[in-house]
Amino acid sequence: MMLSMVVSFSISLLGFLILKHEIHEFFFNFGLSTSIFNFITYFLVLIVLTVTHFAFESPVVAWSFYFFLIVCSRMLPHLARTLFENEIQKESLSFLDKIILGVSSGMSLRSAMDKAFDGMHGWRRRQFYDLVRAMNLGQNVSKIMSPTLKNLAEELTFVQTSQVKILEQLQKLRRNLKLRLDLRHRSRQVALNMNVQGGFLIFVFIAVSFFSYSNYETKLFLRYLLPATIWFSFGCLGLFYLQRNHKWKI
Amino acid sequence: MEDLAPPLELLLIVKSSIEKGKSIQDGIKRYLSASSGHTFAKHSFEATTRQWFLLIERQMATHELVAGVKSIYRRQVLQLLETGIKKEPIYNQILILEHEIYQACEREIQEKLIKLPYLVMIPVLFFQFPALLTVIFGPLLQNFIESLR
Repeated sequence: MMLSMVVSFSISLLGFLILKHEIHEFFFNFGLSTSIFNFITYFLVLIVLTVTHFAFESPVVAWSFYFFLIVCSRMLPHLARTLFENEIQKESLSFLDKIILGVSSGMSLRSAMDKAFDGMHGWRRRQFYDLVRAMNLGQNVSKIMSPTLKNLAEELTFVQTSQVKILEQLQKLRRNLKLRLDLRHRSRQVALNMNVQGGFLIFVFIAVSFFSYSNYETKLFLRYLLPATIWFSFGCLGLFYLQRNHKWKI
Repeated sequence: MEDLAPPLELLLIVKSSIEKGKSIQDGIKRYLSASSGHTFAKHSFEATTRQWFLLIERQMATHELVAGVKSIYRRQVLQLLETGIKKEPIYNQILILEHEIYQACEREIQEKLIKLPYLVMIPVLFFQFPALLTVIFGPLLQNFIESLR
């Protein structure tokens, strides 16, 4: 028993260290707030203590739990990148506005870009850092992860190297970007309505299942829950299909 | 629906290419290389554009292919670009057509938003609502029937 406890605690500790490292990497790469990171660290310590308490007799359960958490943490950057992409698109427009303002007031493109970059904070600054560095050092833009920023970097590099009608080119670039963003924003409204409705129904289904579970016998409840969940999942898939399967008629 | 409408995407890329002082062909090539492997590569317009561009490069007639395209906007885009490839100035027409397609996209989104509540009702009414009723009333009804026996 003592040995199992030691093994469980060691696995928990190792899991905690790996998780902390993964989350630290994620926070560093995305330039997120350190106070949130500290909060998550304390939360992880609590998890270690709880898991050690409940799973001290079976190291396999502890190991499976941490394995699941580590796999989830490895997927965090991909998820965050998708979520941040919309924000980056909006931010790139504002970034371009500031550059245009700088160039209009007589600054060079590079100085205007540096000044626009200076006004950024937090994760936005970290995301745009790669773009500004690639522009200033003339590096290859292929290292930039965000497709929006990569595209912006390519366009800005072209403007910088062309050396003619910089302001006009920047204004045209801004107009094109704005047009794309406006239309994407409008088309997202369609998906948003379905997401809200789908999310609400899932919440209601879970709440109703919990209510039934607390009021009826477990055996009786389970007999109905499985077919109902499958049927409900078909409905969710239908909503997902409606959301995804749109083809432009234009 | 988050991708842009294919003819608008093509027009924007070609416009950007012209603004950079590059050729229309270069813009079309960029569109074709960007769309291959992308989600909208499945659109028939990408395949049609590829086929149309091949015909242009081989200096063959494209009328039949263009006439087979259902959407008037897509036909207009291809016809306009063909005019441009024949060295006629088309930048101003691109701007006008871009505005027209943008308006048409907005109309289509609006129509979709109007139809959406009715479409969403299908999975909700036929799948999710019965599932909810089963979870609530299934055990209750069975208890009731057993008590009657």
